[in-house]
This record gives sequence, C-alpha cells and structure tokens, in this order.
Amino acid sequence: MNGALLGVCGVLLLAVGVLVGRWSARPRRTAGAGAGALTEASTLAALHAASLAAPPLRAGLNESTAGKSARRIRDLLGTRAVCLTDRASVLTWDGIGGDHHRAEALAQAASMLQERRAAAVPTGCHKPGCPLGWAFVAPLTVEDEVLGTLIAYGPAESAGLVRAAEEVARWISVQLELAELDRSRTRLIEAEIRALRAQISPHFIYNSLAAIASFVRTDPDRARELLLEFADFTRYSFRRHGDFTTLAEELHSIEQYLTLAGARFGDRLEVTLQVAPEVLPVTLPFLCLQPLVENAVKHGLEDSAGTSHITITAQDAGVDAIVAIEDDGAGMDPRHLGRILDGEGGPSTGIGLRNVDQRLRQVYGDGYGLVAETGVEAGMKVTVRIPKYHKGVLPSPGPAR
Amino acid sequence: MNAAYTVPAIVLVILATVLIGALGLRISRTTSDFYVASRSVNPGLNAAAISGEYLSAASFLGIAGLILVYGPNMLWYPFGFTAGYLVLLLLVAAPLRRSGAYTLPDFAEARLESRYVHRVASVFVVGVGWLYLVPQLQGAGLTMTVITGAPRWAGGLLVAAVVTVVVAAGGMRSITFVQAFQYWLKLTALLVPAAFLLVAWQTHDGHRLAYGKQLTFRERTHVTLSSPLDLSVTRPVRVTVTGDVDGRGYAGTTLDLGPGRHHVEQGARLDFAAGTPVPDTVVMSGGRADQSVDSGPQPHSLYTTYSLIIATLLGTMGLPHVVVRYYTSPTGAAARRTTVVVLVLLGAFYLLSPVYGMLARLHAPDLILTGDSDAAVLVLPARLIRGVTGELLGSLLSAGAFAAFLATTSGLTIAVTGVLTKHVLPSRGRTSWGVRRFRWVTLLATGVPAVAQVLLGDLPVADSVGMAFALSAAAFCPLLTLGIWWRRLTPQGAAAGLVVGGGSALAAVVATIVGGMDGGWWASLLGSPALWSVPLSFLVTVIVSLATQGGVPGGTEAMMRRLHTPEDPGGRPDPAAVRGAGG
Amino acid sequence: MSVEPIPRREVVTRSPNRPRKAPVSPPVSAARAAVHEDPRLHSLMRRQLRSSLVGVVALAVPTALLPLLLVLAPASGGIRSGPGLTWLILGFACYPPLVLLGWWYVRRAERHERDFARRTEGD
Repeated sequence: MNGALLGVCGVLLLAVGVLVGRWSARPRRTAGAGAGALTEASTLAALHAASLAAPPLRAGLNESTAGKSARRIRDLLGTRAVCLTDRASVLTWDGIGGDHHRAEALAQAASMLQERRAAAVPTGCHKPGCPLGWAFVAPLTVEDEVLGTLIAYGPAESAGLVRAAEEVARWISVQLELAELDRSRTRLIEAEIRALRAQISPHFIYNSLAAIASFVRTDPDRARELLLEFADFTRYSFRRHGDFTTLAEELHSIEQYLTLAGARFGDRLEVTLQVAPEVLPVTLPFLCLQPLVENAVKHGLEDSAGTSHITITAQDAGVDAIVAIEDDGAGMDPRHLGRILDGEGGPSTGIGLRNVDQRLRQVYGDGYGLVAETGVEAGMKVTVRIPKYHKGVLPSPGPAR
Repeated sequence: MNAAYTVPAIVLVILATVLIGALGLRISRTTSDFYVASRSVNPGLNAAAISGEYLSAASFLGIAGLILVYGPNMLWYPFGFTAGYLVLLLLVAAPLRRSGAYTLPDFAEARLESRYVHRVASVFVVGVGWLYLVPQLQGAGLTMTVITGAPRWAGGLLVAAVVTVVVAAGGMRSITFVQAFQYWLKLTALLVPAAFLLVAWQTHDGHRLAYGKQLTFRERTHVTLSSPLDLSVTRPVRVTVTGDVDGRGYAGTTLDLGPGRHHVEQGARLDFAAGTPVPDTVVMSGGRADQSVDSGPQPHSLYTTYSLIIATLLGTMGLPHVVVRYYTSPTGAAARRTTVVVLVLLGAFYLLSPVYGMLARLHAPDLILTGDSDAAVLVLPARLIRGVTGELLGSLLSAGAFAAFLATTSGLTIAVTGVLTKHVLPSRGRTSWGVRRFRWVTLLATGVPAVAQVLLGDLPVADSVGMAFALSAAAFCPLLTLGIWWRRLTPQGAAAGLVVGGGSALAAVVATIVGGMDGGWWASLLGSPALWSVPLSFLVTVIVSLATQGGVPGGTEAMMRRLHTPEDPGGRPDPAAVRGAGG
Repeated sequence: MSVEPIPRREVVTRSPNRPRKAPVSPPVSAARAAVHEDPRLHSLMRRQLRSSLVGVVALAVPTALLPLLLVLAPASGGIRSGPGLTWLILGFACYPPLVLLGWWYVRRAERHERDFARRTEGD
C-alpha cells in the first residue's frame, strides 16, 4: 500500500520539478484574450508585461538586456515575433521565424534610421506557412538620436500594429533615457570620488611631508618608516582601478593615515581600534571609511589645542558588518549636518560625508545610508552598515604585478 | 549524576561563552599595534572555530550512543563527518570563498544571477538549519534530564532561550573566538575523562573488549522503564520482574523469557543477574519501528551504510553554519589550508568516539533498555570511577556537552537568522527597524525547532542529524559542485535540481519523522534518502540545464574567472616584511 | 565652578522624505563585456579539476569498497573479524589518510596557482 502511495508521490514530485524547470525557463504568456473582451484584464496584462520589460532596459540597450525584455515586449504587442536592433546589429529575436528572417531585419531597420517614423514594410517572405508577412518598424530614440529599432512582425498590413509598435518603441525610448540618466548619475559620483582623492592630496601631502622632514635629522629610522607608510598610503588612495575593496584593506589605509597624522599631532591624537576579525573580508566601496576618519581627525584636532580621542569599531552583526567612527571633538550642529547630507550645505563643506552617504545608498539601497550622532561640543559618531554580501559587489582583483 | 558539581560547570560554560562573545574583540590602543588588531583570522584559529561550531551534540554524545545500541557500524558517522570536509576541500573550498558569498543563497545569486533560484535555495537552507537544530535541542533536554531529572523538553528550551537572548542581543560579536574556545573545551572535556576511563578500564577489565554484537550485563543490573518497551529475545533470558510483562503483572517473580518478542509495560522494574545476555530491543521512536538490533546483519544495513556515506560526504558542504564560517578566510588559499587543519582537528576529536562507544558497550548496556543510550558518555565516569573523581569527570563531560549544544545551536541560529532576514523575509523598513526585526527573526529561527523538539519526542540524536546531512547533500551538492566546475549550468537546471532532489529528500525526511513506515525497504529508503536523492538531484540539474542552454547567465565566464583565479598574493607589500627590511 | 550641562547628541541621517532611488547595480556589465574566454584560465581550471578528481577518486574507491569488505569478513574471530576490523579501521586508522590526502591536494592546488601566476606575469 505504502509502496504504491510513495510511487505516486515520487512521480508527482518529478512532474513538479520538470514543470518548475519549464516555468522558470519560459515566461508565462499573458492571457491573450480576444480584443476588447475584458478591457480591464487586458489593460492589467499590458501593464504587467510593461513592468516586467522595464527593469532590464534600465541598464541600457545591449544584447543581454534586449534578450531579457524581448519576451515581455512581444507579450505587450501580442505578435508572433519581435526583434530589437541597435544601429549596427540585431540584438535579439524573440518568437518564431528567427531562422530565416533575422538576417534581413537590419535591412528593414536601415530605412528607419533615417526616417525616424514608424512604418510597415512587407518582408516578401516566400516560405510557405510563414505568418511573418509584414514587418512593423519603429525607431528607439534617446535625446533625438536613433539608438536602434523595434521590429514587430505580423501576417498582414495593419495600421493598428504600426501604432502599437510606435507606442511601445516610445515607451522603450523613455526607459533608455532613464538608463542614460542613471549612467550620468554614476559618472557624477565617480567624478566626486576623483575629486575626493584629489582633495586629500594637497593639504595632507604637505602636512605629512613636513612631519616626516622634521624627523629626518632627529630620528631617521622613524622618518624612513613614515615615508614607506606614506608611499603605501598614496598608492592605495590614488589607485585607478576598481570600485570596491575589502574592509581589511581600507582599515590598513586608515592605519597608515593615522600613523602619518600621529607624526604630525604627536600625543594629542589617541586612537582605539576594535575589530571583530570575521568582518575583515567584507567588501565595501573604495575609500568609504577613510573620509570619515579624516573628518573625525579634523573635528578633533584641527580646531582645538587639546587631546582628541578617536574610536573605530568594526563589529559582526549577522548578515551585516557595522563600522562606527567616533570622536570627542567639536561636534556639529545636527541641522547643519542634515543639510550637508541632503546636499544643501554649499559646495565646499562636508563633501566627504555626503559622498560616502550617497555612494553607500547607491550601492546598497536606501536602508544603508550613514547614521550620524552629533551635537555642538558633543563630538560625533558616524555609523556605517555594510552587508557582507551584496549582488555585484565584489572586491576588485589586486593589480596585476 | 551529581547536580552539585554539574550545574556550576554548565553555568561556567554559558558564562564563558557569553563573555568571550561580548569581549573577545581585538582591541588596540596605539597605532603601532593596529596591524595586529586588523589582521585576518589565520587558518588555525578559523579551523578551530569551524570545528567548534561543527562538533555538535551528535558528535559529542550521539555517536557513542549509537555505537552502544547498533555496534561499530555506526563509526561510519564520525568518518563521514570528517571526510565530508575532505570533499569540501577537494571540490568547493577555495572557489566558494572567492565567490564572496556569505550564505548559500548568496552563492546561487552570484553564480546564476537568478532571484528565483536564490529564493528556493533560501528555503532549503532554513529547512536544513531547522532539521539540524532539533536534535541539538533534544540532546540538551536529554543531558538536563540525566543531570537534574528535569523533563526532556526543558533542557532544549533552556538552550534555545540562552542562544536566542545572546544572539538577539548582539552578544556574538566575535563568534570566531567563541567557537574556537568551544572546540578546545569540547576536546578537553572528552580527552581528560577518556584518559581516566582507560586507566579504570585496564584495572577493571584487563583489556577486555566487546567488538561483537552480543552484549552481556557485567554485574547485577536493575532497569526501571520510563516508557513501554518491546524486547526481541534470541537467547533465553532470565529476569526478575516487578510490573507488567506480556500483559501479566508480576511482583518480584523470576521469569525465563524464551526466544521471540516480549512486551514490557512502562514502570516495570527488570532485574538482570551478572552475565545475562542483553536482550535486543525493538526501538520505538517517534512511531518509527523496527530498527531491531538483531544478531545477524540488518536487512538493509549495506544500503543504509552507503546512504549514510553519501549524505555525510556530500552534505557537509551545504550546511549553513559551515558555509558562513568560510567567509572569514581572507583568501581562497587560506580557505583550503583552513580545511586541512579542520581535518586534523576533527580526526583528533573523533578518535575518542570509539573509546566511549566501546566502554559504553562494556559498562552501560542497560541504557539500551531505558532508551537513554545518548546519555552513555555522561554516565560512564560514575560507572567506572567511584567517588568525587568520577563525579567531577561527569561534570566536565556535561559541560562539554553543553558547549556542543551552545556552539552548534548559536552557529546555526546566526546562519538561519541571516538567511531569514535577508532572503526569506525581505525588509522594506528603515534602518531603525533593523535591530528590532533582527530580534524577532532570531526568535523565529530558534522558536520553530524549540517547539518541534517538544512535539517530536525523541529521535536518536545522530540519526536526525544524518537526515539533515541527506537533505543538505541532495539540495546543495549539485548546486555547488556544478556551479563551480560546469559552465553550462543554468538557473532553470539548478532550480529543478533543488526542487526535485531537495524536495524529494525533504519529503522522505518528513515522512520518516511523521511516521507511518512500518519497516521494510520503504522505511530504509525514506529514512536514509541520500543514496537515491543525490544522484536524482544531479541528474535533473544536468538534464534541465542542457535543455535550457539559452538560460546560461551572461556573467558565467566572469564568475568562473573569479572563482578560479588565485587572489593576488602581492597586491600590496606585506607591511611586516617592509618593516622587517627596515630593521 | 558651575557644572556644564553635558552636550546631547542627536541622530542625523539624510532626510527620509527625499525621493527614494532604487539601488543602481554596480557597473558589472562593462567588466563582464571585457571578459572573454582566457585559455590560461581554462588550463588552470582543467588542472585544478583533474587534481580534485584524483583526490575524489582516491577517497571514493576505498570508501566504496570498505563496507563490502567489512560485510564479507568473517562475523567473529577477534580483531580480524568484520566487527573487529570496523573498530580498527573506522575508529582509528582512517583519519591519517584523510589528512594526508587533504594535504597533498592543497600542495597540488597551490602549485597550479603559482604556475598560473607566473604565466600571467609574463604578459
């Protein structure tokens, strides 16, 4: 009895597995109900298909993103075949007939690249039974420049399909423009990082070298050691490649920074470091802690003559690591800091804090921004939460040597 | 067992764990020793931490208990628990580390770029974690019962509560040190009593061993049954009974039990003379029947053995708390070296299991009848060594057992909580909600197995751990090995393999736990599913992948490069070397 | 001397009411596009896989044969019997070979990686 039951269960399970495999392999076809039968249902279906097609396109137009969204676009148009091209090549073909129509798609697109208007073109297909008699071509434009074309195929000429292809192409164009916007935002932040690197240099280099120079006579060994630290530190800060680094590397660079700062400030700078070693391999955006430490040193020492204490802690918190940098220096008006983080603090102030905040949010999402605790004359504590793993965040392989 | 020594020992273990967890951070106050404080975990320390977290109640208590009941064939467990790390080393250690993944779903997402596979994998990680947590809590309950006479479920709830509070309060900030400490504690707790016991064995028994199946009572032994029992007698047994046997009441009557089955009621007191053969029991656990320890080889013992080997060898790589510890290694090469040290540390620990198993067979066969065989390790010192020394050694063992529950339970809880917070219950909240949410999820992570251990009663500890390994092997071994070595793996293939392989193993495990299998081949197939479900899982993964080659992720080549390219050893000069050169 | 009030800190983050942006996934696509099949990497992978498989076979064959051997051995007769051998092999003798095999593999794998690094350096 049990045997039979189990056998049935086994077969069922196998069937489920195969179905799951197929289901994840193929998109669910949105119900292609008769036109106008259930307007609400078809509107919802169209919106659903559109929302699924959008995310890949937000990364720009290339083979991979076109491939991912083509099925959804075909669902949206309700045609048997859809093709996306850029100016030079066919990016993807979804649906039937790719074997003999794909080659000529670019020729159909070519006229469009000048005309910039949607049009219907006969394919002149002689293959019996092929339902792709007409191609409906519409341009994809970003900032008045044609990036590529959307081609839908149908059995007969239809003004409706021309309209539909044009509308969908316009919608795709909007997505691509947004993608362009994302890219410029990224470029802006990258430019800021470069500015940040450049900003460290003049002041810091001058002060460090002056401190080192003061040791050359009195303590040549120490001068030599500091010089090595200095070389190493600048090498890390000015490296050109890679967006990410590990917490161990970043802490190492902070260590060098503090050694050099210590040479300048002597006993006035006290530092405590607490590190849970399991968070050292955590990957994080390049130079996202060092500006915070620099900030703490500035707040603690540059505006006063007393001693300053800085505490740096790195803790394990399950899926996240938590890094906190605390100083007992001058502190700040919380409202002023809030304005800085909102990007309203004027061009020159606190570019480090805002840049770090922006980059963390950009990479990990809005839940991972800086949290600062401060008050006038109350010191400041800045806390950063970093996920141990985040999709796409991987340390850059070291420089090839 | 004397609670006066044992309870303080356990309290000490808990306190030490909490203190190391909270304070064991590396702290430096001058910039000159910054380098020491921010140095990565070396392979030795990380290996001790991995071993400490891995050596669970099943290893500390369960194996000796199984050897007592089922004989030396159960030594396949410690062998498999160790050899699993060799397979992990050979096939996945370095690439897994280089993938940057903290959990298995992370690996699936990084390699296959699919939210869907990642979700399915998360569900299985939580399943394996919970299945592994239940026996830990049960072992804790058993230990508490032996020590204080508290009900079975109480100890499990105690450990669950301690771990929940410590983890939820963020008290495991330096888990590497905690777990490394737990390894050395467990090794000491097993090694010191073993030395005493071996001396006692030499004087009592004069090197007598008991390899064979048939056990005898060495001295006059009373057994009072706390639950009904079926005896399967092959050689006639003379026993003095007070209570009900085969439906008849006796009051101190001496009976000769002939060959066949005999049913003894709960509360009966059995009195065996010295030299009487120990009757075999028909173990009734959670409704599962007939793992009879008959004198001939068991009907499916060869199948069960092979299934166990497959489960432990291929399942280790998928255990959630194991994967998480590998993240701590700074490089892939360090991960490999760590694993070799783990092999040494585990091998050293498991050399002690047969010692305890053998001594239990000689001196504690009555535990088979009372169903407390998992407590064999704990009661042995009192049996062999009279007086305070025996009591103290017993407390040391109990403390070690508690270290085992705490280490594995906290490791699993952190891993399961991590997967639940990040992958299963996605957060849309703000940062401030994070901490409170983490606490609730921790409660969920320990609460489910805590309730389950109360409901399920007593499965043998090492046996249910075996099921967790089988599930892990069926679900994750194909995903990991094919993900690392095979470019043509697709998300569809991986998902199908997870669902069919992992799903069928899960179904088998659930069927076994819920019961209804009345012996025979089906019980064996379902109780030890690895031998069929792992090949099935591989097969489905490969076939579906080949059928969906269009789905090969675009980043496969880049990911392969990352997984197999050694990290740059000299990206920046080793500061120590530079300083050394500086004189 | 008057006691100064202890200055209080306030928690500051970026205003939550700013428009939320979905995280932009880091620019992996560019890095990915640049990756083409590298014959040296393929050769490294092949060599690593070969070493791994040699190790797996060296583990699997004895492990697969041992249960059969133990079942076929005589049921009684001291240490040479099936149970006796089980105690001896599984209880004690199996661990050193496991460690040695692991150690051998680590050396092989690291040698392959050193060779790979040396060949990439020659660029």
